[in-house]
Amino acid sequence: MAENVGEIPSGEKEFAQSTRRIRDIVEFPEISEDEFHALLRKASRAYGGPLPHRTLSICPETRRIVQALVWEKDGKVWVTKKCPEGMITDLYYEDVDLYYRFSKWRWEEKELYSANVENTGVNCPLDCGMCSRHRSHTSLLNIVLTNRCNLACWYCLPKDEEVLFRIHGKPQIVKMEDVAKLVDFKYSVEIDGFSGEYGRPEWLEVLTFKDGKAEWTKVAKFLRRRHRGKVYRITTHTGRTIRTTPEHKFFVYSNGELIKKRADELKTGDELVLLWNFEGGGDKFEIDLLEAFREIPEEEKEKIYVRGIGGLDLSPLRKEYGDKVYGWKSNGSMPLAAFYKLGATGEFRLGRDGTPFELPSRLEITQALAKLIGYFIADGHYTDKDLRITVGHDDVEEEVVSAIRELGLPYSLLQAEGKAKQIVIGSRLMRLVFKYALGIPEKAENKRLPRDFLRFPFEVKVALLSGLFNGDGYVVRGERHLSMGYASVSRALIRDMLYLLASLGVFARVYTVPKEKMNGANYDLHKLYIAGQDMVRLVELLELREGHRERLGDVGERKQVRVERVGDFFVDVVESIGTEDYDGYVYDLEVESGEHAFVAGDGVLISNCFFYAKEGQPIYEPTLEQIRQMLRNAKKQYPIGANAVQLTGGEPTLREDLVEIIKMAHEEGYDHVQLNTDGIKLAFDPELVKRIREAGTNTLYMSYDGMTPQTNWKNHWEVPLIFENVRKAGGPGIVLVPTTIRNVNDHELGAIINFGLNHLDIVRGVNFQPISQVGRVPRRERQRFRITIAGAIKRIEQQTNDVITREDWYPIPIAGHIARFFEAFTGSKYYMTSHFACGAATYVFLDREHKRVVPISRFVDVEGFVNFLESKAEEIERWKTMGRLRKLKLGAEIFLKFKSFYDDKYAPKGLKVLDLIKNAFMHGNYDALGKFHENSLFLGMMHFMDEYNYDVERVERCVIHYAMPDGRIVPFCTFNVIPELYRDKVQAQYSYTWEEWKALHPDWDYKKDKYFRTKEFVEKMRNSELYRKTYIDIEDYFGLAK
Amino acid sequence: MSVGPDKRLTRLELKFGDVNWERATIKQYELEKELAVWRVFINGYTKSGFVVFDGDLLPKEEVLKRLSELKPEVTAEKEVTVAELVESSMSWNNIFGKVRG
Repeated sequence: MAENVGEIPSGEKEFAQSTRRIRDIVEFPEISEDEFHALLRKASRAYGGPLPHRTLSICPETRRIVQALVWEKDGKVWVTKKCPEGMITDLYYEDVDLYYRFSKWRWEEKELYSANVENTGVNCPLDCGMCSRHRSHTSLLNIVLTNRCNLACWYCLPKDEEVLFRIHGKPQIVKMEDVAKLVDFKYSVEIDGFSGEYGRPEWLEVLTFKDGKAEWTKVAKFLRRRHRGKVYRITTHTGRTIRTTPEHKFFVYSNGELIKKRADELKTGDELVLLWNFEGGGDKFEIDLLEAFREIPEEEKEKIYVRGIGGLDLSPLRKEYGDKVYGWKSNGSMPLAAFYKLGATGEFRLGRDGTPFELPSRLEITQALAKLIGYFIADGHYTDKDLRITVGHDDVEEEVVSAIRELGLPYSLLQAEGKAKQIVIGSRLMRLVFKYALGIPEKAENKRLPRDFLRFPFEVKVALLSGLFNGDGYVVRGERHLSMGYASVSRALIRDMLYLLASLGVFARVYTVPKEKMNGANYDLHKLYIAGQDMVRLVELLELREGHRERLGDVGERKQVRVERVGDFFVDVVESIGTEDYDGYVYDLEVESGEHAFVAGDGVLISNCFFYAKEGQPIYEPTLEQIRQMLRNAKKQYPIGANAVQLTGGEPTLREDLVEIIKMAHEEGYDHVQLNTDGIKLAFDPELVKRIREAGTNTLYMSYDGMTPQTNWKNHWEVPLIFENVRKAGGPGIVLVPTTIRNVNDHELGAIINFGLNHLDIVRGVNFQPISQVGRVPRRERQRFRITIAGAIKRIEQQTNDVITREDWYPIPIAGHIARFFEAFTGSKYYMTSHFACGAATYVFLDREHKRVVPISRFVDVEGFVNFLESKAEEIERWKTMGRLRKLKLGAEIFLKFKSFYDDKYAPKGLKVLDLIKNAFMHGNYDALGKFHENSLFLGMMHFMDEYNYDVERVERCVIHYAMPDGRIVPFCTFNVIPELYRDKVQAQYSYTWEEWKALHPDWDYKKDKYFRTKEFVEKMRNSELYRKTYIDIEDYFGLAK
Repeated sequence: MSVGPDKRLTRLELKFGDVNWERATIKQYELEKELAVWRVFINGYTKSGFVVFDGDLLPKEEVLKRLSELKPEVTAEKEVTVAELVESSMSWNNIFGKVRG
């Protein structure tokens, strides 16, 4: 088992590492539209028909219900559909032979004759509720008890994404990674499987949205973690962009309200909120050149002289520089390199060796200098000695020269044959100012505004813009159109200009011309343009050159820009969504303001992440009355009601009335109550474990994604405590639930079963759940991570050294065939009539004496027995009306016959398996089945669908349903895959607003819901006896170590 | 709570002059996304359907406007409370088909 030494296991880091070792990728086959239609025409339609088989599916982006094809190629089963967004293929089942073997046990009868909606199911899965078309009753009812969660989602920005910060009171657009360099990451934390660090910078602020106003708010935490995977690039209609991790939430304007949506949930047309206007700038801006020049190359520091040093004591430098210091003193100037060693402060003059030109050490950015800067950014470049500005118009030349003269800079004019004139600013000192103090990068594609441009006073900003537009701006005049524009190959420059204009209250749009559309272009061209009344305002502000003014002419009456304004913000529509691969640190903020939002990228309002991401969001917690109604609704399905209920969330253990709810489920006649939990609260509250066990919780359905802290970052360190508390409380039984993902944890499936066998006293089963990739997931990612039931079964075979083989598994509906027999003898109804592709199961018994694991199929011919039962089906159906003697005779015949399907030679020793089975059959009640479970480990697989492998034929046979307080009961795979119609919508309808919740629970503190795993806890667990007993001192039943 | 049991909803029974299954599913999905819509069914084969919605959040005119492409005709209209809607959805109130022996 891998270990992390000396640090909290970074689930994310190891996740990244494990996905780096891609063991295999499933190549999805291509199929043309013509091939698709040809196959569709000859496809079978009836349930269980041969491949190719026709069904219906849902399109991930447009949500259309479309025809889909389930077909076979290269021994695998695929599902393909034609969506408006294109042909989509995904892996349906990795083993066509297993698919056909399982299909033999399909259950064809309809078992549900009650409904909860009037919809007929003709529009399945849009008709859910149950509709009258649904074929299976509820075998397992799910009830969401709360959307409160003890973990939090961690979503972030890539390292080079930019945010408008105020650092020590100074506004700047800065990359996240550059701010990170200033942060002391003192604190470690793990949240929802992601591990990272954060610091608490006292000096950092961002812009937030407060009742429509753009206001500065303090950053409470600055966070980072590693991310390997996708980042999303969101582009809006006005050309603004931002990049985030898929989970990052955006504020979306919907029906006059702001709601939050993840990046991977956004759709084109969604309305985002962006910055239009904010206040910034001061009265005067000066650069401290002495500070700024600390960054310049050392050889330059030797050539720059600090003048006016007469009052300084240079004696501390004598040891290093000898008598030179006397020369400096008498000349009144010294090299900058030496000056720094003095540590002196004050105001001086700076010059460069051999030139008379000087600058004050505190250089004020005047209007003239700002204009010159604007011209330089527009049309200038650095040489290794000087600054040059290309001028194409006389009025531009005149203005540039005027600014240069005002600044007292040395200059000359250069005009080579056939080339445009250049103004050469012959000051290396000024070159250093531009490059290091103002931070204007080299090369056109990297150009930016000076790093502190937002601190410039109003007039200076205007001068800067004047220089930019006079240099590289243009006027576009059409018949009715009039705009001012600025084009650059530097997208970063355009971003700076958007913020500069926003600080002046001027709205602009961005349009990008891809380089492919321009002959010989190496870069995309980004065009920023201003029209309407904003253009009028801009024209009034700027000192535009004559050429622009002539072209503008009489601007006339201009309209207000057609965007919806919300105070200092505006609403902009998502135009496109793209993804790119990413590997590195990602960052996020927690802000102090109650809006939990900040402006990032090109001014997009996004959610503050992290610990309290859901603070302020509505809380969904059905009342006890509503829960009782949901329980009853499923219980009274006709003719077979639900017998098992799973209480889920969020995190259900956060509900204070959980014990009452568990008791209620039993009151309403449920035999089996299970809790879907991460177990964390149970790790630290042994009393709670006892109480829920006493209340009647039969099973903890507990997330368990792997054997190491890397693969099971959710609760690896808490599991030993959970196990200890469950043992002390005498229950409940635990079912481990690994979400199985190819290339992530699919190499640990055998080890997880081994682990379960080692804790058979409390672990009842392992239920593998192959990944359901809900949301927009690119094909490449699906190829990397998709695994099906058949794939998981194959891996288990390999990873148990052929102890549990492919042949040992059975499809879920086989239980239906056995259940009919059970019902006849015991009256109990335990049907599970799902689609044959939805799940699989088996039992393994542990022969402790010989340390042998024996799947049930090795000593019971399950299929043979079920075939026999089928042959007796008619007789069994008549059981209730039979006379007593006839019943006894049939019962004896069946039990005797069963013995012929049982081979004692291969049965596990020391276990009276036959007695267990007989007991289960004889009594058929929950207790009897429980005894059976105590000595065996149930292994299950349940593959919940996503948009890509969605099969309506599976939906209409689903046996795992969610009850909702609006009276409907909905299949699992519609509740979660189409949440906008079911889960999220109904929860929104029934949620408490934040204010209502706080009023009802005045003592409740949101922060107390959250769990923080500390470094100290991990170290303590790692070194504990309990940890050793749980994970290390265990038997290796499959020879895994070999 | 966002909604109380006594909240009054409007139920419209509809006939459609221009509909098929595909267009019915598209329109049903669009309407069903709305928080104001509690139940909706558009049957492209029988060219009929109904919608139950909160008229305070989504006026009837807007509902009909959204369906205008299908040429809807309101054949009946009534009010129902949330509690009544939920009660009418209960399994025991909607039993059909054979009785299992």
